[in-house]
Amino acid sequence: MARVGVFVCWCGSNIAKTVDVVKVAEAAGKLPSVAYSTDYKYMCSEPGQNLIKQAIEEHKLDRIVVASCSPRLHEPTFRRCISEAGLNPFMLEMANIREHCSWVHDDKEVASEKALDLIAMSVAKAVKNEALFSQEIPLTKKALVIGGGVAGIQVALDIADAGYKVTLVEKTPSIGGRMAQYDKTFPTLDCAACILTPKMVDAASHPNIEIMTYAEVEKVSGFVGNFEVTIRKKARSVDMKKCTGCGVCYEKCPKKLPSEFDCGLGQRKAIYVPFPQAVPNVPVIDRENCRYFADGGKCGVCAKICPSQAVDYTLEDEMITDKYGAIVAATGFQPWDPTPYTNLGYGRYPDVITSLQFERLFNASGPTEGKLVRPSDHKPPKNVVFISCIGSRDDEHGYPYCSKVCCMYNAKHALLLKEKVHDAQAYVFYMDIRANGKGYEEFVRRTIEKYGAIYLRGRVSRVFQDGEKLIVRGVDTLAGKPVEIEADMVVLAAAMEAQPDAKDLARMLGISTDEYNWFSEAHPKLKPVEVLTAGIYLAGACQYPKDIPDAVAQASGAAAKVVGLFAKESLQSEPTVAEVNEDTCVDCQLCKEVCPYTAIDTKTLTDRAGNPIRTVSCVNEGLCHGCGTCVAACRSSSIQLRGFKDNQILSEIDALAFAE
Amino acid sequence: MENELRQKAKELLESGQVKQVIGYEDGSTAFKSTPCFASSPEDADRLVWNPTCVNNLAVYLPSAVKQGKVAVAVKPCDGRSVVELIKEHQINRDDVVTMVVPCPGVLNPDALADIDPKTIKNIEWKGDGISVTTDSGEISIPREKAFLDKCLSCTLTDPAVTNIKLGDSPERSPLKDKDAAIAEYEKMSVDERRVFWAKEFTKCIRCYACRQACPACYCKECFVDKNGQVWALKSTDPEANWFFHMTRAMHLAGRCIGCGECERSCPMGIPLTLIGRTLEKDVEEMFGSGAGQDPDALPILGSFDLTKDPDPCPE
Ligand SMILES: Cc1cc2nc3c(=O)[nH]c(=O)nc-3n(C[C@H](O)[C@H](O)[C@H](O)COP(=O)(O)OP(=O)(O)OC[C@H]3O[C@@H](n4cnc5c(N)ncnc54)[C@H](O)[C@@H]3O)c2cc1C
Ligand code: SF4
Ligand code: SF4
Repeated sequence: MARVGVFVCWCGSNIAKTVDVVKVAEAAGKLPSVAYSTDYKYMCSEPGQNLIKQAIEEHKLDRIVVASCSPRLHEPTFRRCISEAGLNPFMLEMANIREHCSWVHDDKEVASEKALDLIAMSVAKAVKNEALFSQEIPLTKKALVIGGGVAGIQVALDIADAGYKVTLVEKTPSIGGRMAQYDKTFPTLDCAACILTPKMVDAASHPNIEIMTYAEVEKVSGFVGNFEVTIRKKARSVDMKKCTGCGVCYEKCPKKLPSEFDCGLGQRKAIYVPFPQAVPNVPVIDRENCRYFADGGKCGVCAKICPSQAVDYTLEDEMITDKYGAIVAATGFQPWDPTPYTNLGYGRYPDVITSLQFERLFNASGPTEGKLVRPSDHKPPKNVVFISCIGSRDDEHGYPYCSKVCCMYNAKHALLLKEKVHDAQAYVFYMDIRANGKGYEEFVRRTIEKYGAIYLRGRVSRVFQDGEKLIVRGVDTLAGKPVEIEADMVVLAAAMEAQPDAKDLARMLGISTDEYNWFSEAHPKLKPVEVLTAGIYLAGACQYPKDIPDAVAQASGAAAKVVGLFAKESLQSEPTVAEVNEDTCVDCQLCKEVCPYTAIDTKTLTDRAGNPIRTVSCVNEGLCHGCGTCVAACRSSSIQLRGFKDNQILSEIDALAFAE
Repeated sequence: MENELRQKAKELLESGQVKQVIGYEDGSTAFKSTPCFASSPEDADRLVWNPTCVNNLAVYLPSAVKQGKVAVAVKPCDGRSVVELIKEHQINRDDVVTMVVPCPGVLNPDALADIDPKTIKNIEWKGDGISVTTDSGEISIPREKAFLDKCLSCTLTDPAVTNIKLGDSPERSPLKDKDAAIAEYEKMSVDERRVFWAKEFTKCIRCYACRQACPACYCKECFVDKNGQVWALKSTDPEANWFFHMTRAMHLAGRCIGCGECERSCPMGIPLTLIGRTLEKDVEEMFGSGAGQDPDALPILGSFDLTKDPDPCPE
């Protein structure tokens, strides 16, 4: 026979004001299986807890019901308390007679009756409680960072500095991300390379960081503390160990192609490093375009010329599988393709370009070596029109969201234009100026007031070529009249959008994406770097458009979470997870299909000789969050949540339904 | 057609391609056929195909495939049960060979109400209805009277899991709307429906014939049979009856293919297909898909897509 102790808390006057705690405790003492009941002013206080411990000892109690506040608040407290008195912590039930009762009622009589009902339910459940035990889960103290942009680099450095190993996986041949493409960064205009390159080098030389470039995550399994990840290192065709980075290979390679890094404005070779400061400074062969691979081994110039014999056409993709305790996604964004704006002539007129292309045009290591000239005739532009919100805040062509950084880089571009070409004039068409960051508003004002940029609030209706000029027709809504500008160049501030493979990566990681494929955080305010899957964190623009300061701040936040996790010796599993009754499970796999955490797998039952009999579901306790979705779905009640089994819940319902 | 069926069955059994063929054979009376489990080529000679082949044989598949590969005669409607069983991992696609029979409609027992059953010798399809041979001659019964309600509104083509197609599919020219039966029901107010079902469920004797006949009720242990976690009383308490039927209905939502075996097997005449069809209509409207169409589709409970939720929870 179970011996339940009931402890009714006054919570000062919080409960006692509306619930007759003394009478309720007395009545609770008469409930079936209750061996002892009492009330006290503050059950959570030290004397209150001692009261419980003593009663357990004196009255040989084996299950405890504390009638007080929400378990959210004090369940851990009372679990600890009863386990100190020798009971299994899961022998505790809490009846919430504060939030669910005293705080929401004022009629004392009715509230007292309800309090007793709530206690009766908890007693009925407690009688059915079983001892539960958490398991120790080992923890691999090594982190995987996916994406080597500024955010990913920052995460890797912070975790590595704390003393833990990190693997940084980058899809392209070099780390650096978008920031490596910029010349100067708002709002302070420091040279992007001067602040980013040292970080890239630090990451590359850090003893705790392993960088894998030209690599992609192929498969992820496991759970917090124990992820198993397979990474595909694409065949670079250059031996990383032998290459000295001298660069003769790409000087001599005969095959020229548009450079992705220069957004098509410059050229690269079939063997190339994306930019001179690339980390690692080891070229890759773009096999699709290489003559050696196209013509069955004919060209071979790079291999012949390489003084270190580093070029190796036989290298193959390499698969590396390793264990990680935590994963940080830092895969950034991609610029949106503004072709749908047919009225603006992008793709039709060479001097209508995107902001990212503009960045490359005045970058000292860009295709023009920093000389700002127009793509069509290589003459410096005089009148340049910048158009905001291309694909942002635009349901019709692009996305309804604001890309957040465009207002600022437009101001940056307008300012730098004036610095490069002194007699130039910048025009900026905008919807609103969003300059909310430290020093941002001042920066925009400076661009307007000191650098004479002309800001026009309104949209552009059409851009068309008229001889040498581009005619920009729009409207200045503040002046209330149409404007027409003869421009030399038009720059479109294209939206930031999620990476095209974001959804695939999310699926692999078992995390969710929002309607625009940005990765979803666990809570928009209170858990901005976590996701719903434990052990996976977000950093940078893969979550939502961010500028560099925000991306770096979030990166350090994500690193702090990882370091916090790794500071533990091992992980404790939560015992209140799902459990399959293998006798009755029919392997319909509905539970597997509804589980939001991919915690359910199928396993084969065998006879004693090891012959397969049938298959059933099984729960990965590390992945299960105890949400109970599977329990609701299973038609034969073959999957149950420990601590919340059907018989426990049904007993509660019976206690309520059949109470006199 | 019957010969073609026997021939195919023989081939499959002789060549060892299947262990067993499940079809129909003559029953104890001429107006009822019974399931036939043929495991040798000789057995296959017993197979028949006529208007009395009403049973949905898919119900036998989950246990039959345990002995080896099975061929099964399915009507287009029953074929959808096979799809569901595959979708729900109860059978492997490779373990079953479906022999899809051309079905103009199957017998509605009410059609024989005016005929002395003892005199019936044979029943076959004729014209667009059936012909019943009795001791005193041949009686023709027109389609609208001869066939089950589900057949009169049938628009089905070959199921997505067809292996062997026997004969030519008959033309479909439904006489009735699929929802004609529930149209009347839907006119009732919620209170009227409650009264209606209270009366119907009071009749239930909890024999569980509906559950046993249902190809989708394959649980090893039904929720209602559980000990220790008692969801509903096992006695014929009216409320417990109600609870059993409503829970079973919920368990079938999005999975019921409307074969009507539950209602046909109910000795108390409870109109169970009304529940199935009403629920299926809701599922079709809310999820845009029905049961038994695509063996690779996710079950509706597992196919929830937040971005398509017409009524998202407020934050
Ligand atoms: C034109 C323009 C100008 C800007 N100017 C400024 C400025 O002056 N100041 C400022 O603060 N911000 C500026 N920004 C914003 C800035 O670019 C972002 O804040 C910053 O790049 C975000 O860094 P990130 O590391 O999150 O993403 P990214 O820079 O996008 O880096 C992501 C990295 O992940 C890699 N990756 C992607 N998918 C995978 C995968 N599946 N596996 C492995 N690796 C992957 C990518 O190759 C990339 O290297 C500008 C943006 C634009 C468009
Ligand atoms: S839903 Fe239930 S019966 Fe189906 S596989 Fe899961 S545990 Fe087994
Ligand atoms: S309780 Fe939730 S997380 Fe755990 S197995 Fe069931 S559905 Fe998955």
